[in-house]
Amino acid sequence: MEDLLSIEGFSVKYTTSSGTVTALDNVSLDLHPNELLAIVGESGCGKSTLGLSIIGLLPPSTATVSSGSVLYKGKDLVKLDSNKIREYRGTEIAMIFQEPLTSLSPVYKVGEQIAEAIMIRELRKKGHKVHSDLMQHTYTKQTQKISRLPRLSRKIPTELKNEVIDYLKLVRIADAEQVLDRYPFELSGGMTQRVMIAMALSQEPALLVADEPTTALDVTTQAQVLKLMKELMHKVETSILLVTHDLAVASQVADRVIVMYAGEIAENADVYSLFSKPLHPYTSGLLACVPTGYKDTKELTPIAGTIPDLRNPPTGCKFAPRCPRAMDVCTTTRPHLTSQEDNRSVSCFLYE
Amino acid sequence: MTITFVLSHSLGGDPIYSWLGKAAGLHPQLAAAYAAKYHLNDPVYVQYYYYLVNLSQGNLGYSPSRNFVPVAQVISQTLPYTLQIAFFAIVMTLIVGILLGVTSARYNHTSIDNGIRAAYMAGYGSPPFFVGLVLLIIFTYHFGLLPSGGAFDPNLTPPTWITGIPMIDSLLEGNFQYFGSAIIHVILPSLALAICFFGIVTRVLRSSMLEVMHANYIRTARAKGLDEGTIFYKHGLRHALIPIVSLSSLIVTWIITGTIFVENIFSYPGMGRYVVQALNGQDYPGILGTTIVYAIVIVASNLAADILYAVVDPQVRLG
Amino acid sequence: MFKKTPESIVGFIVVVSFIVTGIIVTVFDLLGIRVTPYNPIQQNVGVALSGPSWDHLFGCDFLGRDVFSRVIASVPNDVAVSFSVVFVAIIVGALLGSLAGFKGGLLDELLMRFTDVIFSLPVLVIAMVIAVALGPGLTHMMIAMIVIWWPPYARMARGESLRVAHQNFIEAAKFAGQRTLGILFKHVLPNISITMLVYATLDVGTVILVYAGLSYLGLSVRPPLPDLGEMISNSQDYLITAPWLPIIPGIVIAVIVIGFSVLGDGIRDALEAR
Repeated sequence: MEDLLSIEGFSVKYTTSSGTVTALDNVSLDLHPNELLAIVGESGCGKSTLGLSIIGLLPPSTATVSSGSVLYKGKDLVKLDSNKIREYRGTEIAMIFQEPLTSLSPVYKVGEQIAEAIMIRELRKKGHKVHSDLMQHTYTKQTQKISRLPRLSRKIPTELKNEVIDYLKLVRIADAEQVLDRYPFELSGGMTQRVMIAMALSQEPALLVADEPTTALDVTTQAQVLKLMKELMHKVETSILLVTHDLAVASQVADRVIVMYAGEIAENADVYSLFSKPLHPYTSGLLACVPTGYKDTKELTPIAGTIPDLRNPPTGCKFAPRCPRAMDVCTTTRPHLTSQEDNRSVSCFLYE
Repeated sequence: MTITFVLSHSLGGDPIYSWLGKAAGLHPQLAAAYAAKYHLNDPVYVQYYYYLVNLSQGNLGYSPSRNFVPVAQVISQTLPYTLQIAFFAIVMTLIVGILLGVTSARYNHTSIDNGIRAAYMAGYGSPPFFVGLVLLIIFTYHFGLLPSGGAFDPNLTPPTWITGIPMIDSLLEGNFQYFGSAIIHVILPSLALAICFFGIVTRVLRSSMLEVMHANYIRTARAKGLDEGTIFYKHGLRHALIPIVSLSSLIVTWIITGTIFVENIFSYPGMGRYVVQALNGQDYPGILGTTIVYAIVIVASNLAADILYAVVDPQVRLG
Repeated sequence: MFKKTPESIVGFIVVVSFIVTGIIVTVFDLLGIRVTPYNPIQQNVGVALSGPSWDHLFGCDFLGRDVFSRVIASVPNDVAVSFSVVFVAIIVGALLGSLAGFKGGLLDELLMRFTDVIFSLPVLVIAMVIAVALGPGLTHMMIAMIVIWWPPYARMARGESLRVAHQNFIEAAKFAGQRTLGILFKHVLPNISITMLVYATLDVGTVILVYAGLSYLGLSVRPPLPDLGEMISNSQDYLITAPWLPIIPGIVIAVIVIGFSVLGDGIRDALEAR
């Protein structure tokens, strides 16, 4: 089947006052339809940058794409200008973020915000380009009852209202009718995240990028939300790109896992193979860090050292300074992603 | 808030001691009749008591600087005019301030931004009476555009007393000539005040907007596919306006005190002009009375601003 | 100390010249030497209402007094008022506020209510009231303004000391037996002094503005002594015939106030960058 998302040789640099940081270095990956791909790595490895860069949400003043392509349904998103890429946001590729409470506008009700998302979808379907004055115009044409002024009451038109309720029910929010009239700060963390998911899915995207959606939630809620996401994925036929630092999260829901380190991909494998037989030393190290349950009697062994300074990356493999199995070649040459059996790849000289 | 209200009354009463005492000393020729009637020969706290009693009845004493017409009457005649200026000044300040604040934020760090900043710095640094004088010179004497004094053309008949506020009354009556003249006369004084104070609004709104645009929910709005314009206005501005509401109670306070000055420059028959007369004529009842009224007006408008704040920010309402 | 943008340098120059002028004039005044080109209160009806010239840089007022001299002579008043008001306000406010925030309880409540009252009433009106009660004059005006000026500082100090009061090192100091005042001075005050410094710089300008308003109303120095605000109010009527008379003092006030604002901005920018 054709890949939904195909990233090839993608590199992103940030210019900071203390130098240029290579956040993403020659990253390549494929995402298939109806697949949940998890990108795992510690803080600073570039996974969030990867997620944000797909729909062009990187801060334009500091971030530049230095090379590579991001092919979505065959179209290179990198080459699009800001107006064009906006067309893809929401209705083709949607994104949800880490802190749901601050990611929703505090002055509009939850129902209104979802309705806004749906309206964008409808406007796009009818072929309107979403430009500011046209948006205003079509807003007033389509929805007489919605006013942009903050102090008049804003009622969601009935056709949209039912759909908003449907989506809220889809994410298993019980009293959807009441919730739609609430403001985000009135809801719990788990609930707001569900609202965000509902809002994202209401735009019927083919791909949902989820940037650490459960990190801010407690463990029980986390499990619920993850389970929900996995179910919905098949129900509404949306693929998910899940960015997380938590291997456990990945193991619960992912079909495929990519491990990133210092801006590069270390390993790419389906979830079973990765966890049962990790190839890259970094992956093994990560797995050794995770407590496996009450049967675990050994001490946790953290990985020695710290991530390299990305302004001045080391020559050779970036993980070499910390790698227990480093060889001479590792410090002089950069490894590349090489295909292995079982449809996996790894970037390590042990396997080249 | 009620506590403030009550306290403000008593605070206004504090200097009564020295004043009433002085008033007694300054009118020796009237002292006899005056003193008997107004208990001026009694100890100070008795005077105070009587003053408060009178106050609750709406009797603010008699105004020596205006031929002993009751202070309350003078105030009721002049307060509406002051309110007229205050109203237009506040509206102008907010509109200009917000418009420029938004523009400033949007064209952040460009020459437009810097130009606006220079403008409001100049405005803020100049005392309102000075600005008024400058405006007078420019508009009245050089270009003869706008009149130099009074609230309306004396040749026109003023409207009958319906609400007490001349501009509203004239509209209700259909007396458009008067209304037009009143508008012309109110522009310069209000403008003088607006020039002085719009800067604060602009500055606060600008930094508020810049801060808001980095918020997470803006990122979400962008991810939803909204265009930058809608994001800026519908989401950014809406949230950034909230601190402006709490700022506006401050603005109202300053504008109302500013009316004292502009009314003098423009000979506008409002409370401010009366205050100056009273000060010059050592009209203690007048000074007292106007102070109390000013205090009331300001406290009332602060209350209104507090209510408005709750309307605008749902977190205050429900949180 | 402050961010060196062109405007803040100009502001700095303005402020420094303002202060220096004030000091020079006062010092020389005490020594009995006149520093201004002409005696500020000497009348010379012959040149009354004459415009700016090389002889009289700012022209002459309706009594023939040299405006330039009067302006210079009124600077010490402004310097004295503005700095002393702010200075006393800071001290009183900081002490009261930090004490209230630190101790909490009744003292805190009282302070809050009291400052609330003062806040809700307009500065100008209260200053007017107090000044009238005491009678016109520079010292009375200063007293009046000091009385109403300290609440914002008290609020600031209170906020900061509340924030700091429960931190661990304060608890440690308390356990070690340090007295409250000692704690306040050593720990609380240094932290808040920076914010207050920035606010104070801008505040001096505001004091000058309010003071100008009050002297305009005739509540401060009375003629023939010169004072900027009062110079404006007295020459209002000559707006058409001798516009420089009311305008020049106004410009001087504006320049000084803007100078302070700009300098204050520069200081704030420099401190924020840290």
